[in-house]
Amino acid sequence: MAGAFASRRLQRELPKLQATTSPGIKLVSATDLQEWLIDIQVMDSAHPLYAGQTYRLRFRFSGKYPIEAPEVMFIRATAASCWDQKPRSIPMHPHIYSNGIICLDLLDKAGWSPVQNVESVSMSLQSMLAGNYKNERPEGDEVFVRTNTQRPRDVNFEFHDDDC
Amino acid sequence: MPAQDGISDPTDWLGTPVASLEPLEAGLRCEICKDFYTAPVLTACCHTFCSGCIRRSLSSVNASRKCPLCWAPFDEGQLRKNKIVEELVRTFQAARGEILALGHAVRDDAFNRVESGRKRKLDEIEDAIPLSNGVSPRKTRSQTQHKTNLIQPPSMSEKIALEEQEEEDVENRNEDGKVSCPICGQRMPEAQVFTHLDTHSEDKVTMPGISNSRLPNRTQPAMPTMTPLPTLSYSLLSEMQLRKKLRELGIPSDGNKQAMSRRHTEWRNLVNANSDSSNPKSKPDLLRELNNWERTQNSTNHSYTAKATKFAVMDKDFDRDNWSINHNCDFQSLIAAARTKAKASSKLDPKAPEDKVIISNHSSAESSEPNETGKDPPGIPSSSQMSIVGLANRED
Repeated sequence: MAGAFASRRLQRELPKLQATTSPGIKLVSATDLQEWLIDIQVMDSAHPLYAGQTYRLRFRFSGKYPIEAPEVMFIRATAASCWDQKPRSIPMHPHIYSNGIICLDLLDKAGWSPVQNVESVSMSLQSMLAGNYKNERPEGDEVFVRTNTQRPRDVNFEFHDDDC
Repeated sequence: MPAQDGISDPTDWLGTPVASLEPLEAGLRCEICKDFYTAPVLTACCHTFCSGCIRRSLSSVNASRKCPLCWAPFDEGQLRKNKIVEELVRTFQAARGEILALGHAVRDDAFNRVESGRKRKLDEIEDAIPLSNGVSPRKTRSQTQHKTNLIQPPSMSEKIALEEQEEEDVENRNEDGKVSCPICGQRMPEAQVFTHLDTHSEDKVTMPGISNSRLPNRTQPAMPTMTPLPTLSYSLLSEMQLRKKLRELGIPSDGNKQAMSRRHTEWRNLVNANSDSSNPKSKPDLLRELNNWERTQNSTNHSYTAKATKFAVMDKDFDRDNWSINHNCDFQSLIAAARTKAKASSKLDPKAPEDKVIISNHSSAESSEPNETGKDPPGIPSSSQMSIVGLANRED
């Protein structure tokens, strides 16, 4: 009952996200149990890169969640479509490609653990941003963005450093 | 269980006078499904999960036999039933609704009191609370003890059971200095009681004072449980052999080898998790669960392929012909644009680009028809179109 398993788990997570979330994490939309949008902010108001910025995450869940990792990436959004009338861009980060795909081991097949949840993943990404002061894209960003046709979860990343 | 449970959550306790039960309930839930433990098992690293959850996690492609909580490596064979947790979950679940209702009642009552501004006596509130156990605690216990008594109905509480036992111990001791065995009533010196009791524990006789209802399935004969299934190394089996195995197990044996091995993995997880449960389900029930699983599998797979099609150009089984038919008008318009551009520039330089287009058409191996007229026949192999498109882009 993989599908039922996933929806049951998500139904349990949803009210919690709607009620209370950690500071800087806000559930934007969850119209079904397949795709949720979450806004995250870096709480450090003096951060040189991300202060005052809001970024949008898109979670996509397969029928095997939480055994399988959700597909998580940053997405762009126009100001008109956002609750605070500010556009969403893709944050500058050495592990975030300019198409929003995130290179983070815990989102990868090998690094995912079923004890993670939407909020814990959002928090990890929040701290991944907060700990970064490099205003740069990953190596080979342009080529990857132009040529990648795979879904984020099928991309084979090599995790060569763990400084974030 | 699900019917009673609904979508309950440990946070249900927050905001009630017994908010301290939240961490207790959180501890009785599996970290994977966030539900109360179903057939809990202990891993080699001493973490507890539902048997089904951890087995699914272990058999998924990505988790390489590691504990989801601490990443300690271990094998499925090392899983052991965690009976006390199962028992705790069962009793807690049975009491949960009652305690929660009490918590809400107390909270609402306090709220009403503040609302009306009337100060009522505490006794009145107590009377308003239905006491399921029929004990009137006011007479015997202090207010704080009373509260714990409300939270834990006596039949569920180990502590109270122990208290009762102690009381009995005192009663059992008579003026002759001997005590009677709490089980068979035989009288003996106090020092001998414990060794004597050991003989009873082998007979699995329950002690008076501990309600027998806490221990399910002790006396009733267990249903004929299915024996745990071993892992199969699917790569070593031929499709025929695997199909035969599935037929022997009595589960559907259709589909290709991949589908069958997935089905067998799920069936093995279901059966083995079931054997960890103290209330094992029957085989027809498990078959129904397998069937449900299969249905959701197919539906999710379909939705995925539908979603993924636009990124599928790189796939091995990419439908090239269909793609060229569907995008034919795009190709045609690009070709037309390239032609007009080529003509425009050929007026300036009569030799160059018109020839280039024709050359590229000829040079592509699949195109057998020459194209002097400058008009492509429909259904032309896409590779030649691609090369023209490429040319058009380069000229931009």
